[in-house]
Amino acid sequence: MLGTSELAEEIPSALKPHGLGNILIGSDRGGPDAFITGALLKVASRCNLNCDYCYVYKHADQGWRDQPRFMSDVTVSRFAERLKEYVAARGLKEFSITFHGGEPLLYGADRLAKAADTMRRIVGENCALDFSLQSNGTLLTDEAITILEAAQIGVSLSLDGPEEVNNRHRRDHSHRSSFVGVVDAIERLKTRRSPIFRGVIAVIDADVYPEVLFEFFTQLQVPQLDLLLPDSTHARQPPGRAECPELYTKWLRQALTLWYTKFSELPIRWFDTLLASRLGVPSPTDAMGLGAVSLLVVDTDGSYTDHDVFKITAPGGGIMGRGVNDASFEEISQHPVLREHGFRLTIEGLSPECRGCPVVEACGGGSVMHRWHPNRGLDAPSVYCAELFAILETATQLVNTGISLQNPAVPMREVPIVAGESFVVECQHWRAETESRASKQASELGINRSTESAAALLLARPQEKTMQSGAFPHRSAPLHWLDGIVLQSDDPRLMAPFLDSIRLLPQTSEEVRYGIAALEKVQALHSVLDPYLPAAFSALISDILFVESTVDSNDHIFSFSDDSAPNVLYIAPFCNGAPLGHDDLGDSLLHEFLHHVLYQMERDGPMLLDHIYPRFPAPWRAGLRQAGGFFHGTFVFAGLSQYWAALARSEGLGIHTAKASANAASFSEQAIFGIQSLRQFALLTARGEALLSQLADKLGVNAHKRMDAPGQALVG
Amino acid sequence: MEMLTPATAVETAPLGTLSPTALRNVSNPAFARLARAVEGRNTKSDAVNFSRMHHRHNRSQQA
Repeated sequence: MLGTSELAEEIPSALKPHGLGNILIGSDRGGPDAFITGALLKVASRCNLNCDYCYVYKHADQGWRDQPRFMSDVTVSRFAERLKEYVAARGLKEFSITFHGGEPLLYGADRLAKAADTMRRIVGENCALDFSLQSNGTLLTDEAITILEAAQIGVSLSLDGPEEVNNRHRRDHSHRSSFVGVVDAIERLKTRRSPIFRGVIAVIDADVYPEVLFEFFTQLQVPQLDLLLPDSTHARQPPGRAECPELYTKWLRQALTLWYTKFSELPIRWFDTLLASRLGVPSPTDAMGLGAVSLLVVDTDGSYTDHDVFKITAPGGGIMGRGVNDASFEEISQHPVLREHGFRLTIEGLSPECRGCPVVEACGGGSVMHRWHPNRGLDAPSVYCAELFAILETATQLVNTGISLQNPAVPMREVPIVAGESFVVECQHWRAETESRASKQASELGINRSTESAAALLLARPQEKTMQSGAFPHRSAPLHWLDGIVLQSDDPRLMAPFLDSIRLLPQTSEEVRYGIAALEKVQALHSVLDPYLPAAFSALISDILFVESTVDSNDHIFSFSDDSAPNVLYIAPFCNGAPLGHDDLGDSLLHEFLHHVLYQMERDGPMLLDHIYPRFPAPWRAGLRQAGGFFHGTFVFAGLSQYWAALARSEGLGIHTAKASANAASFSEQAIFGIQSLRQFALLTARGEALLSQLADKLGVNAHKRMDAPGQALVG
Repeated sequence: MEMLTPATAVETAPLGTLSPTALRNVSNPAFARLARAVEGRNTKSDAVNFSRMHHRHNRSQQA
C-alpha cells in the first residue's frame, strides 16, 4: 500500500504526451464555452485495488503511469487560486469539488481535509464549496470518517453487490477481495448516522440477476445507488455482448421493471432519471441527456483534462495540454476539447442516427465517451444505443401504467380519418358543442347572441367589452362556401390574438379572389378522398380566413389553426407570389381541418397524459415537438397521405400523379414514424392508444411493430 | 475507478401539463420522487407555461 506522505515530482503539463488526444476526429466545430460548476481533483494517481473494468488503468489511456503519485500542496493552492478567479468573474455562489483517483484516501483523510480547508480559505466565503470523494472504501476507517465529517467532505463508495458479485471484478493487486473492507466502511458510516454518506456506485455485471443486487442494497440501506454500465466503446464492446447481443437490453428491462414493482424504495438515480425523463426532467448526470460541459478534471500533476472517462477512447483522450500553472478556468473553458465535448451534448452534435431518434431528448446520445468509434470518433450513437432505447421504452410503459391506473379511461369512439356518413354526424355534434359553449359564454355576459361566429365570441376576452358580441355586425351578405362556412369575415376578434404573425388579406385582393374561386375545385379534390368530406367540412368549419404570414418566409406554403379559435381555418392562398395549385390548397384546408377534428376529439377526452412531454424530433419540422404537437402532426399527416394517395389514383382531374404519389409516400412515412414513436415513447391514454391503432389500420401498417434503436445497425 | 458526474441542462424548459399532485397519487415510492423532480423543474424561474395548442403549417412546395 502506498504511503500518504509520498510526493512525486510534478511533470509540467506542456510536456504531456498525445496533446489534444484523438477525440477531435473530423471536427472543427465547437459547442458553447464550458460553464464550469464543478471540478474533479485526481489527488492520487494510483489505487490499492486492481478492478478489471477500471477506466483509468484497464482501458486505452495509460497516462497514469506518467503522473506523480499524489497532488502536491502547491497544485492544490494553485487550483484554488484559479477557482477563486473564476467564481469571482462568473459570480458563482456554489461549486462542487470531488476528490478522485486512483484511490483518493491514499492521499490521506487528514490531507484531504487540509486541502478542503486551503481551498475554502483561498476561495473565500462568497462561494460555498461542496466537497466529496469517490472511494473504494477500503481505507475508510473510523478515524478517517471523523476527519471527513469535520471537514464536511461527502463520501460515495464503490461496491458492485454481494461478496460473490463484488469479487468478480473488484479485487486488489494480490487478487484479494475488497468486499469486507468496503462493507465495513458502509456499516461504520451507518452506525454513526454519518451525514457525509451520499451513496454507492455499482457497475453492472449482466451475469448477475438484478434481484440479487436489489435485495443486497436494500438490506444494506444505502442512501442512494448509482448503477453504471461498464465503460465501453465501439472499439471495445461491452463485456459478454458479442456472445449475447441482447444481454444488457434484457437485463436492463428486467431490472427496471423489477425495481419499480418491488424495490423502488431504494433510490437508484439512473432509474429515477429514466422515469423523470418521460416528463421532461433533464438528467442530473452525464450518463444520458443533452446539456453543457460543467466539469473540469484536474490531474494529479495539475494539468487540466476533459471528463476522466475519455481515457477509454484513445491514448491521451481528454488531455488539453494546459494546467493550473499556465491557464485560467476561463481560458480552459474555451479549449477546443471542451468545446467539442459541449458540441456533443447538443442535438446538432449528435450522430445523424441520433438526431432523428424519438428519444433523442432524454437519451442525448448517452454518455459521450460511450459513442467512441474507431472510424467515426464521437460522431456515432452510443455503443449502448439499443440498451438506452429499450430501457426508455420500459420507463415509458411504467410511468404510463402508473398514472393511467389513477385515471379512468374515457372511451374512444371509432373515428375515421377520412370522412364517411357517420363522420359527418360526428362533426355536427362537435360543432354543436362549440356553439353551445359560445352561447353559454354569451349568456353569462348578458349578451344576446346573434349570428356571429362562435369562435369570435370565444376568442373575445370577457374584460374587453368592446370586443363583445354585437359590436361587429357581419356584412349584410357575407360570402359562403358549402352553404355554411363564412369566407373572409371582417370580424376583428378572429384575427386579434394572431396579429403578431399574420395579416388578413383584403377582401378585394387578387389572393382572396383566387382563394374563393379555387374552392369549388378543392371541393372536387376532397370528394376524391371521400364524397362525404365536403359535408364534414360544412358541418364542422365556421370560418375560412385567407391570410399571409408576417413572420415566415414567403417561399413556403402556409396555414395555421389554433384551439382557441375552434373551427376556423387560416389559409395562405399564395406562395412565392403565385397562387397555390388546387391540390396544394386542398392540402392546406384539409390539414387545418384535421387539426380541428383532433382538437374536438381531445375535448371529449385527452389522448396524452402530458401534452408537452416527452418531446419528439418530427421529420416535418426542425427542433423538438411537444408530445401534443407531435400527436397532431401524426394524425394530420396520416390523413394527408390518404388525400394525396387518392389524388394519385384519380383520373380526369389534371392531377400531377408523380407529385401526388411522392407526397403520399412522404406523408405516410412521417405518419408511420409518428405512430411508432408515440406508441413506444409517449404517455398515451387509452383513447390515444386507440386512435393510433385506427390510424395504423388506415395506413395499412402493423401498429404493434416496434421501431429499432437507430444505432442498432452499427453494433450489429 | 468509477465516475458519474453532474450534467447541466441548458435549455429553458416548458412546464408539463401533468401535475405533481397526479403523480403523488400513484402509490409507488418512485412516483413520490418523480413528483419532486417534476416540481423542481416546474418551480425553476425560467420555466415557461404553454397552455394553447397552436399549429403552424409551413411546407415547401413540390413541383
